[in-house]
Amino acid sequence: MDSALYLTKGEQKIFGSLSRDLQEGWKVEEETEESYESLRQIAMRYQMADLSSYPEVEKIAEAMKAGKDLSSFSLDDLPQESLKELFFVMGARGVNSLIQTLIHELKNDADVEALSALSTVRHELLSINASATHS
Amino acid sequence: MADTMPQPAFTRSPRVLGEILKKMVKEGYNLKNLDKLDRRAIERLNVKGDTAAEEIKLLKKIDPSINGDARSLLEDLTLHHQETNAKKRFRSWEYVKSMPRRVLGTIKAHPKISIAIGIAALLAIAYFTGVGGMVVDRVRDYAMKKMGAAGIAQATEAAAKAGAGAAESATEAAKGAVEALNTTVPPPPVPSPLPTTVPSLDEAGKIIDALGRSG
Repeated sequence: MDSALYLTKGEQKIFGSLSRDLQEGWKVEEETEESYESLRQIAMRYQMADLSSYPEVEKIAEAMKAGKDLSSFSLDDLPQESLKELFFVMGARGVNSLIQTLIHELKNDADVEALSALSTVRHELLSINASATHS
Repeated sequence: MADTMPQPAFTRSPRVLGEILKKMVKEGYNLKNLDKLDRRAIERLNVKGDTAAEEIKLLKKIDPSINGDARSLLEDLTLHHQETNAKKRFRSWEYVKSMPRRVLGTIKAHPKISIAIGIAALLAIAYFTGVGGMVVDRVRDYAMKKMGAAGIAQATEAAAKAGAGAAESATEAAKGAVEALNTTVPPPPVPSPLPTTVPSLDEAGKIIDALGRSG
């Protein structure tokens, strides 16, 4: 696992206000890219979602079609692997939203490790978006 | 890529768009040319007149029923092609392939983040299985219920903790919690790390609205 955190200047300030213990061992890189997806891009990604490798999805889909209450749905119903597909679907703007939630609630090393993973995913998505011409 | 809150309704489903792209290749068209067609370029084609553009001519050949929406179709095809390539690039990225289970576990275990990803997952499943816009409202309900429940649980816990010191019984603390829930307290100012930052629920709401229109 890379120990880098790709944070914007504002996020760096928040991270810098944490205890030394939490900050220790992380290399903070500045996130300067701002190529967030348009809603049109996000809509296309949702409609292109490929969850064919996950048979568990079928059960959830059947529940949806049957009009069952979705409030019992849990992420545990989905395989871990499918989360990676979801990162692409929600895009850098979705992952950014997760980062904005998590960065204010960092309590332990595992949280910072999750922040590192999310910031790295956002960094890659922004980089991919930057090379796109059509939004 | 400014967010101008577009109305993302597409002329064809992604499956049909993919089929049209395959037909274009069969006709000898190099899809790399689509990468050069940004919105402005497509608008310029339109100004010159539809018949002047190679792509428009080809689309009309593939599907003679295309009439006034050739330019919109070309825009959708360009976006579909772009996002297909972006997806391939993301999926081949080693980091995302090897993300440790414990990191994903931590992400999943976070109450608010798991709800936000849950919203994304339900919407993706809805579109993947063809249920699409039909369930958008139900996903919105899910979001509101879950977010509402999480918010209420947090407020109750905080209020109970605050009340416990002053009150001698759990009943008093619970009463304090109910009073706290009935009182509107402005949230403390939170430093904004990014000018474009939006809270998760707002962001989810925007996306749900956009998907509702595109379904």
